[in-house]
Amino acid sequence: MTVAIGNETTLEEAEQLGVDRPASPRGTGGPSVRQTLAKPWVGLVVLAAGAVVSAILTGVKGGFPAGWVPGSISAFSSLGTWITAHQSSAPFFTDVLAPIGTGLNAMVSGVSTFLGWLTWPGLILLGAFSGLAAGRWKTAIFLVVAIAAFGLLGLWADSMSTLSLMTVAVGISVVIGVPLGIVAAFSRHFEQLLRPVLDLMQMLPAYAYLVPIVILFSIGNPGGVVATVIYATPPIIRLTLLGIRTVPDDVIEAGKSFGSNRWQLLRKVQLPMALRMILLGVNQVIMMALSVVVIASLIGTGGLGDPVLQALNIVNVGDAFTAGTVIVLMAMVLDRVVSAFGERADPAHRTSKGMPVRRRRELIAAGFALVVVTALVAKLGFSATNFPTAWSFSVAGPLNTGLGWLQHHLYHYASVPIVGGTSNLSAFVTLEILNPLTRIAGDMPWWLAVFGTAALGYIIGGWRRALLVGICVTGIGLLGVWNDSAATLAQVLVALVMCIIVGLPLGVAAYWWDPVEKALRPVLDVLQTMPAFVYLIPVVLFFSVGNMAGVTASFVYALAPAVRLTNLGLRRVPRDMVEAGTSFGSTRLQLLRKVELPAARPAIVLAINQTILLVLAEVIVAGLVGAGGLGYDVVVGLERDEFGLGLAAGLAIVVLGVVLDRLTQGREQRRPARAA
Amino acid sequence: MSAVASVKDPAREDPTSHPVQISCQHLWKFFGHNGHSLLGTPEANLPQAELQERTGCIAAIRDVSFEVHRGEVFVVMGLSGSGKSTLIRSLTRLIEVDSGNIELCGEDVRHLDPAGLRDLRRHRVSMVFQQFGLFPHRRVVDNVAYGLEVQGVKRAERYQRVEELLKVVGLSGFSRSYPDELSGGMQQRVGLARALAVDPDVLLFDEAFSALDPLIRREMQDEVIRLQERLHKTVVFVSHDLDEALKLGDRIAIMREGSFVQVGTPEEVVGAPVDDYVAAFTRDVPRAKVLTARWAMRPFGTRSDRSSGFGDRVVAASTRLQDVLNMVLQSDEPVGVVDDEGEIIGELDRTTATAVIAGSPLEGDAPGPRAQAGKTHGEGTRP
Amino acid sequence: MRQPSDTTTTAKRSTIRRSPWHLPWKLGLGGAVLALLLAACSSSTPSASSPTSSSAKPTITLVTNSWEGSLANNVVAQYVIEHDLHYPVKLLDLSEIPAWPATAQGKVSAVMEVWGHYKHYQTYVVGNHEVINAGLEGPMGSIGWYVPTYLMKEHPSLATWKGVKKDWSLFVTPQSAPQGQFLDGSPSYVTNDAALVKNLGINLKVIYAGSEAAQLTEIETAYKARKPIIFYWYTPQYINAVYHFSEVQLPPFTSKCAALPASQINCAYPPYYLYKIMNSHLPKTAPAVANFIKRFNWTSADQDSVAYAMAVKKESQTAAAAAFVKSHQSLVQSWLSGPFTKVRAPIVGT
Repeated sequence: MTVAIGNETTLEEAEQLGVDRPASPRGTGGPSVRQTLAKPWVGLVVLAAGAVVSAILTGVKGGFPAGWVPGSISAFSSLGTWITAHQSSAPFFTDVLAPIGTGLNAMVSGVSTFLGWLTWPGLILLGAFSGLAAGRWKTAIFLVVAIAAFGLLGLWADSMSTLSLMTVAVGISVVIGVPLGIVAAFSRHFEQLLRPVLDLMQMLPAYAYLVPIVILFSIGNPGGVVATVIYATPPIIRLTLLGIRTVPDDVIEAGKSFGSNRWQLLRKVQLPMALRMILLGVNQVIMMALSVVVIASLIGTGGLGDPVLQALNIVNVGDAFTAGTVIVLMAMVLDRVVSAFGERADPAHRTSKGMPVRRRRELIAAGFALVVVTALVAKLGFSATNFPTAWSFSVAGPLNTGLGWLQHHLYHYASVPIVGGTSNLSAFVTLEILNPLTRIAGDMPWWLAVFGTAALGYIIGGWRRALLVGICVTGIGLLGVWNDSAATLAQVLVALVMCIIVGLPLGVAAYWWDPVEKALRPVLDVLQTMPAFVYLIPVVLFFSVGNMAGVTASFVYALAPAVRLTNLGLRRVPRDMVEAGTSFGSTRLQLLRKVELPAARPAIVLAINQTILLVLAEVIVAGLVGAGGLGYDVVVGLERDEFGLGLAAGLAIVVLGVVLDRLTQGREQRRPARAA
Repeated sequence: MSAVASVKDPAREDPTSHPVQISCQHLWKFFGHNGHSLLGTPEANLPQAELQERTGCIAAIRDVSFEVHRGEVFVVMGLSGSGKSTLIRSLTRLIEVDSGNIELCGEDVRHLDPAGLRDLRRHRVSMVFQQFGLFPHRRVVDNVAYGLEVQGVKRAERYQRVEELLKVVGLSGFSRSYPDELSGGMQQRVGLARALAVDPDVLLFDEAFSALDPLIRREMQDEVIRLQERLHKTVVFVSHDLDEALKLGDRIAIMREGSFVQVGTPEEVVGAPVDDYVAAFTRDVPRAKVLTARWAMRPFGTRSDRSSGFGDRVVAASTRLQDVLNMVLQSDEPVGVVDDEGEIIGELDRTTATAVIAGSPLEGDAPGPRAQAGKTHGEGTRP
Repeated sequence: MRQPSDTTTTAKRSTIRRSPWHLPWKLGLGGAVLALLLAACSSSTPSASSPTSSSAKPTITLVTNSWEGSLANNVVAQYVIEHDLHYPVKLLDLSEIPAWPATAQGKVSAVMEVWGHYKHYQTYVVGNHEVINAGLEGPMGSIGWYVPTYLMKEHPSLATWKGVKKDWSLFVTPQSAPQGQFLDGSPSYVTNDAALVKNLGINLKVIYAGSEAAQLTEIETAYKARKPIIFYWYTPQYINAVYHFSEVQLPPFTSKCAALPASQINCAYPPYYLYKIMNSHLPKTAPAVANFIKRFNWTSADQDSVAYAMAVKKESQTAAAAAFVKSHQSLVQSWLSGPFTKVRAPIVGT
């Protein structure tokens, strides 16, 4: 199986996550007493009454009452000031954090030195060899071409420094994440504690905490590694947990029934069987880590983020795109290598046949020896650490020209029939959809928003979810960013609709026609791994500064899971169901509408859920192209040293994410009964 | 339901004379929120559906008591949801019961500390699972050696033992394979070998052959019978397949909604179902293949007017009805039934035989079924 | 779930090779890695960044901020420090805010162009003396409202804010509708524009481009189509040499107006005396460099010419710097040995 690039949850995960909720492992019984008490209308009436009472108490005005906002922003700001004031005196900072920073720096430098000694011919050879070791010619060829492209595009040195940082950050994420995942798998309490922390780590934009990280760990590698680890660790924790939890019961039981103690069970049964999932986690960590390369460059880590930022300074899309492409290639290289290992760890691919083990080992040893010899010869004989600059070429010129041509022919009013150019499209969406939506969301009285979303939560997931959602919406108001949240919400919704309108049909097309699927796959990979900073300029070129540019950037980034999960969901529809539908003479469309789409509903709901979360992850970029909202606040927080505002807006993004996630997660399922 | 291929040989040595190896007294187990609080309440005895409606809980085991003797094969059978898998798991505390006593190989299982429990699982009891429960990441040899491995047996020693066992279950040559390279039947042979590897006193089979094709299932059942003739393990076998129960079981417990409805020999269960539920279960069983002459005969002693004069028209008491039918039907005169010592202990005539085989009620003088009916509850003994 | 299907004893799958991760394999790999590391450590090939040479002459790290002028300062400084003072130089891309703690911690040697940052100045220069003021850079930072010159020619009244107030409807966009749009810049820059439009009663809505790249793209798009646009802009900026912008006169800056709370400001932006900062240890660790940085001083036109060479003419950094140094020998000489301009100007802004 090829592991999809990108940080979406796979369908299996979702299915499995969906059923591991109830606390009693074997219980079948729903709480029938509570069920009878809690008829749906009772809850809705209670919530409606709550809304009416609040409306009477606080008036029916729109927005969130300003008097209630407890000054969280200034409180956060004073926290930032306190850290600044104490960073050179408090023992915790100087005796604990500073040495950690030094250690991280040493690790990155170590890897960097190692890569330097491997030299470029050595690294290319190593790539080729990893591909071959996985038994795949095509992968080997791809790896050679991709690694060579680092140098051919003139970014070898930057690539190596990014690769060093990635290696250390990913290594640390794995070393921290796997044990945490194991502990969480065994302790529901710990898992419950951990879950919100993971949500926070994953959804809080790195922008919001860059400044404190710099103050505590200093700029460059230490800060970069810490920021990357914070952002990239959650998936491996989640997937380790999932991997261990989804080891089939009967296998665990078999292990227990032979008297394994806990440690034996973990080491001999659970970890080996969760290995594939854990490697998938490593893969996700790599993707997440690579997605913060550019942000890390804001705090001086160097690497591939630098050329992107420099290109932005002089509005040179071609240069930014080139650097972005190298980031994508690096993601693919690491993805292929990890996937190759993942495949071998997959029980389904184990086999007793194949090349004799001894011969294989010999080949592998020989390959590594060859790499070492090549590196030594290249280094000592030719001092060939860096890729020769004379061999590199630039694609920036043609790219810029092409983009200019496209803008010239697509942007202006009369340039496209009917639609009338992208600027018209942008004007229409902004005026007719985004602006009114923002106004409606922002002017909505707080009580209507709180109790309305709570009612939705109640319908979808009962009292607990209603409570959570209601508290979260109130929290957004208390953070003091009500109106900006409204703007962001409007953009998220529009981007979501665009993703559905474009993504679902593409998903269906990919399901119907294999060539479409094949053609789409690399495009989606690229869309999802290309740093958003790269398409910051193009979206402005076509849609002007403003909401629409922000929405488009989010749409581009979040399209991939909508297409992928729709396709995957449809492909997972049981064969016999489709056959039954066909046997009654359904047309292809009838089949789709009446059988396949309904059967794929869970996958599509998941697609919507994932799309929303990815759109939210892109609000920063929306902020960078004039869409305002929470993303802009977070950017201001970093750029203008308004730590309080940045953190408040960052937290609001997280809270908004939690609300939207819980409202689109679907009903909680119960584990099927097991008693015989 | 397919025809019964074979039934436990009634003439086999009787293991009930052996010491008790497993003894369970008054086991209760509830599933659901706060289920254990239902213990001793009137609700505990409600029908399952009503119990669930009222409390949200279900009773998986209700007041189950039984004993299994060394070398005996005790089959627990019932429909899915009847609690049989829970019961077999509770024997080694893979599931903890809410109350009751469990004694296994002389150990008070419920009060064992974790180390003691591990010891019990490592050395005394092994289990074979419905979905095999094989470790997909381990080769066959390491699957079978697992129990020895966790005991701490050295690699060379355990591999040697595994090779022997693989030969026993007919899998030599496959030790380097991975489980998913084998067919279902072969996989369960691995499961069987794995269970036997630690040489346990007690073997537990949880629907062990339900996932297999009928043909292979029968093959595996024969395999168990063959092994049991050699090894004489104490076996608890959970099944939902009556044929399997009749074929393997020395005794059979019919379980329904968590309780034992009837415990008895195959003959008792088939010939004298205690209620409509058991009767419905056994309705399609070819009774002539299960019941014996001893079961159907009119025993002497109630009306001992004829103690001889059958001539050569006598049959052994342990003969199955299908084998005596020809002789009985030949004439209106009854045939004599002799015990192991050759003593005539009863007679069997055409009317009685056909009535017993048809399962229709008999008037007046009671042949086996009714005479034995009282004994079928609780601890069944042989007729 | 698997279907138990066959009674035969054939193996079902046998396609993909695998090898267990056994010890000898690991040894081989470990050996290879070890060999490489040993080779790396035992090397004695000198290099620019090897520890021996850097202990004698520390690497000088200069911060490059997100505008091209900042890079222009740095490439020229780098060229001079490397060629005349023989210190290795590293240019580091970094945001403005992190640059302060980084300079304080010594991770960064100097920042060659600082706009305002009163708060940080108080913390790090006045407060804990971890950063020292390295004097004026030369260019006067000027912030204001600009329109393209073609627009100014069509509508001469736009020369002052009063004309803008009258002709606001020229600038209506979907984003700002029904008001006119005022395009603001990167959030890292000081902006009073929201207060200005309010306090001057101009019917414009301030739209924050969010990044200079987005703002510039938007301006270029309008410029190419010769459409009306009004925006926040500043000098020095190389793009001023590519496009022609005209400034809109705002009410004159007064110290009285500057003293008003931010939301009540109703006059033009103050002039920014761009200055340099460096780590307080630099004068000890690299005295020659510290002296050079203090004396470094040039004009807006100088900076724009270097930035223009790099951004528009696509010259390499070294080439642009070399060309400048070659044609400004006496200026460069004054940086190496001339008098040092003390800071007189107030530090303004946040």
